[in-house]
Amino acid sequence: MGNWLYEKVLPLLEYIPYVLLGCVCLALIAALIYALVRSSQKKPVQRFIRESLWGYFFIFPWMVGICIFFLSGVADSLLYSFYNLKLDNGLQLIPLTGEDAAGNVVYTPLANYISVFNKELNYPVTLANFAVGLILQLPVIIAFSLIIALMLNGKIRGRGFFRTIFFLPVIIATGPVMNQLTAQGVSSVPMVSQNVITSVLSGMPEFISTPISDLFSQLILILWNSGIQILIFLAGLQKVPTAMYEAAKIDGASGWETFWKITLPTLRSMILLNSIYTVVTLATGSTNPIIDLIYNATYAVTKGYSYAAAMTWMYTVIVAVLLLITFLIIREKKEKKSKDIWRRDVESARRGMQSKKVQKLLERRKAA
Amino acid sequence: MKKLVSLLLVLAMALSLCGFAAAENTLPELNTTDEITITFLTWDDFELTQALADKFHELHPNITVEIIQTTTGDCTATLTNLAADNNLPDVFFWLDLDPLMANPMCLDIAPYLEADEEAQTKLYPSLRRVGYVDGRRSYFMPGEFLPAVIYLDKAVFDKLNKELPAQDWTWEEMLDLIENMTDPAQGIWAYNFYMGPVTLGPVALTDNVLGEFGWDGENYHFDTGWVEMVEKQSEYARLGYQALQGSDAYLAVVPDDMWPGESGHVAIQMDAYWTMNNIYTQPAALERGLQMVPYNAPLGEDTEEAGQFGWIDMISVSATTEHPREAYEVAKFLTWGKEGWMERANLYGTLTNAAGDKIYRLPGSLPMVEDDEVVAALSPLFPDLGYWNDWSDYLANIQNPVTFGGRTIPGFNTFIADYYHGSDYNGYVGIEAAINAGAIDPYDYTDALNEAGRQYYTDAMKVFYSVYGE
Amino acid sequence: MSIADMELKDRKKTIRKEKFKKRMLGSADKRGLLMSVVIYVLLVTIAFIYLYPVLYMFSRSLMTRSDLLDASAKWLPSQITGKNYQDAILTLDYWNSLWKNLVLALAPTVCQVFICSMVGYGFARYKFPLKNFWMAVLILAFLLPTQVTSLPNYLTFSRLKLADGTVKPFVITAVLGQGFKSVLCVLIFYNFHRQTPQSLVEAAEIDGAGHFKAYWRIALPLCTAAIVVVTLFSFVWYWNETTLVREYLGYGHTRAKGLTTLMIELQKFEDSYNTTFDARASSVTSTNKINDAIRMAGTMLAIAPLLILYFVLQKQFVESVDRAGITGE
Repeated sequence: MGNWLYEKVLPLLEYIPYVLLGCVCLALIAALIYALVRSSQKKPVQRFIRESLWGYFFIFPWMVGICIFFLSGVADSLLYSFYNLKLDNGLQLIPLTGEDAAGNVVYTPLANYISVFNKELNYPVTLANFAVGLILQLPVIIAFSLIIALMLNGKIRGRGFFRTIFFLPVIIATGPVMNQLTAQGVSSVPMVSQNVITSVLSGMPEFISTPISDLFSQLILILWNSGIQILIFLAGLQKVPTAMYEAAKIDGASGWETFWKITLPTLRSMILLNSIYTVVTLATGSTNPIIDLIYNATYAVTKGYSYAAAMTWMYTVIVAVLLLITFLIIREKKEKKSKDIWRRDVESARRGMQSKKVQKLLERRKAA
Repeated sequence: MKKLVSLLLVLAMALSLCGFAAAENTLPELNTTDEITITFLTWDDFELTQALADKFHELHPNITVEIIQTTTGDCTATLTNLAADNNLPDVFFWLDLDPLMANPMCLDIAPYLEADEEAQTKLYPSLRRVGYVDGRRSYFMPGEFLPAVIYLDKAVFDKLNKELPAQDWTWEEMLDLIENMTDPAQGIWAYNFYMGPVTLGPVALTDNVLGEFGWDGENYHFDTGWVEMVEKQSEYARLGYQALQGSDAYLAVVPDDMWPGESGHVAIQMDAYWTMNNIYTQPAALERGLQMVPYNAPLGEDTEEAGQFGWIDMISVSATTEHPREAYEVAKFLTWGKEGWMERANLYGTLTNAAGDKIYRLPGSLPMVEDDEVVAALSPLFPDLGYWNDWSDYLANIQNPVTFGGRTIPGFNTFIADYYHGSDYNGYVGIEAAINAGAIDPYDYTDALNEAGRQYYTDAMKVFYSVYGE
Repeated sequence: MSIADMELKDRKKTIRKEKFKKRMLGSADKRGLLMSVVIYVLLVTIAFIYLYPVLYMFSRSLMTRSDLLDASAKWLPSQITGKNYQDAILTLDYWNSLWKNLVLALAPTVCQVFICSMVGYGFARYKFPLKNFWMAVLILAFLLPTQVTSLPNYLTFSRLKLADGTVKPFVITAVLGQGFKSVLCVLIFYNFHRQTPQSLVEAAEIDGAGHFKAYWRIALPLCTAAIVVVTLFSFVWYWNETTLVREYLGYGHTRAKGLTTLMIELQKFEDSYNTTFDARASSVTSTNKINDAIRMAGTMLAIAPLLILYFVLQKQFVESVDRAGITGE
């Protein structure tokens, strides 16, 4: 089994991205020729081929890039995880061997994955802690950045000034500037005194108070890490058609209603995007303890790069599942029914506003 | 004919013996004809390294040192990338020993070290054999040294009518001071630390120590220094000898919760060399009446060949270098070698940035060779504090520096992460957490720790032998 | 007092009450006072948190030596000096580094914005075979920790001889949609293009405008906000990144003669021991206070171009609203 894997299967892994790219390119050329030769016909097949060709036209550079720079790396790192990687005059891959019950030497390609289970005793606990932290932080970050974006989008004095300030976390949190500041001890602004919170929470049962005080202690960090989300929301708000707000105003809807029935439905896809972004940054950021575990394993003498690669792949599967759950919770329920994704958002927003009064008013307007 | 042949043979043998003997005692000559470029990976200050490299080029015009600048954060990943690409720098600083033990990246420099009289006589004894991973072959040597410094506040000592100890104080004297200098009435804590007794103690209290936790080259000795100090350290915190930032008692005396070392309320601050920059280049600290006197880490009274804890970065020559002899010379000149150090001391005093400001207010690191000339060149670079000015005395008391296990002991990092800080001890994760909570008696665990440490070391050495050969 | 009088009084009272309520809580078209107060308090508080370190940095960068060394002058300099800035400009070789940095950040940013908007449009507008597969690859590229692919990626770079100390690797990766954090850029554009009414695009296509023209003339102008945001993000990422920039330039090239960025120059300032040992325990870090002021000034100078860029671009947000109002629904 191991022998077969090492000799027949694994060496092919590296070529998969290039073969894939080649096949897609060949198919595209064939489709292009077909479309050129039989361009006069207006059959569904023709339409389908033209659509596909245009689709690939737009993603083509990216597709080439992702095969060369990303998928090849993915294939390589998968490959490494089935070997023992040594840096000896360049990179050497040594097949993993073990002994079977009879004492014969056999190949054991899965040894790295198995030993992650055996050696990383802290892995499950760290993972559980991370998941709980994620569940607590995600809604806070999303709600916070949405509120800020709404405020920045409203009519306020000094809007340009405020918007510039709220761009600061994007500049600072991603760069070495942050290190400079933490080195100076200024990033922890004494806004929320820890003592006050502890005294407030002391009356509560522990299972509630602990996560809340954790959340508060991370409040500043959350503030600093939501710069990107705020800006994405702010940009998303520009997409809400102003006509809809006007219609709502005529209808006499309050600000609160407008928010729930127009703004939020339009922003739903932005919320999804921001949630995905937040989950991914929390999961793969350098402050994540699991990334720390992986880093330590990479450079540990008895574990090494291949072992860490196996660990990362297992972790990636878990993060993907977490992401899928987030996606399923946030995505629109109607998505299953509606096939035309294009009109969905606008329509659903409008559906919220479908009072007869509005319709009438709009019609009267049109007539005038 | 036969005679002639045998005569020639004897002659040849004699000649080769001579040559062999000569090679054993002195370093081979440097190449002085070919144009050679040696690449040098470092995270140290660029201006300083460049100035040293220029000086080397001045002395050896055919050898150019090309600096590859990195940061401590990127260093290990950069080395991995370059090694995978078979493009390792000829000489490189590194942060963790383990990846180098798992991959044959380093050259055995033992032949050079053994033929180098300076390495055999001038280096601090504890540093001479620091890179001998298996006792026979040496894969690295010391690159930069910053000792642990214990600052005693003379003003606080005066307040309590205590005498400052001598520069060659002992570990027992220090413990005695810690246990007797807390005075809540005057708002004085006996001590505070960055690296505490648990880190410094085992090094100071174990005979013939070579590494952290009493490492002697083959075994840890958790039973000598560690077990007492881990108990004392948690006891001192419990009894309120230690100034704890953020604690109610500390906030009552120092409302702005400033770093205890600068607060003027701490008698003994166990800290690091680079903290001098904060203490001695800031008149503000002195204006508050701080009179910090630097001490080297003390040694145990009855300990033979004990060490002083310090921060030492190591440096290696690449296994794939084309010019090993020249690479060794560059590595030596830019790190511990006396010739390079004299230039370095000069640069610490004179180096300026493009704007004309001095870069160093104090020497950036300390020498690794015992040499009066170096001490003489270095002493004037330290400030006269007024209340104290025995810098040469301070410098003379540095002996046997010993550094982190992660730099010198194969398998140490995994042992600490997985076992020491990672295992379960009576419901607590990590042994220090369990001891601080009073959940376990450390004396019950010394054997287990020694044994586990030994096991991690043996596992790591197995990997090392499989990689570098028996 | 008659009953009618009392009724009148009551009504007046309720009207006054209503008015007060309206002024405080606001109505459909006007925000109430209470709401305004809440908004401004929140904005100012959070703005303060974000501004605090920058202000701190700014005030210290203006301090003279004696102020810096004086603990009592923590915030306001007693006398403002521009010397730190002069020094920082000299030490960072500012104008030279700035120029190089602008090239290194702008060229790939422009490519990245263009390509990612195209890719996002392709995914949002068209249905084609394997589309879900490519979307999955996109998400995988997002969530896979970079540690696992950094080594093979470096080897790919080395094999293709890309890292040659020029701007080439930055542009090539960006053109192929693999710039810094390009996945997020694609996803942002994907989301925006999805919200563009398809009828508009289709109408243009039927009019004979062609697919690319429909994208260029109709779809792209409708997502100005996305273009602004992605431009900003990309520029900041290219500006701030140091680890990958070192790798892309080839490790040996980051010296004075080659290309460099302000952040890399700034890192040279840092006391190496700040970073080495801080992770291990919490003690005060070494601060060579004299260089500190220059470092602060240098940091201010290094982020100044980003702030200027943002202040200019954020005005586009308002404009794009109006544009969407005209051409949109």
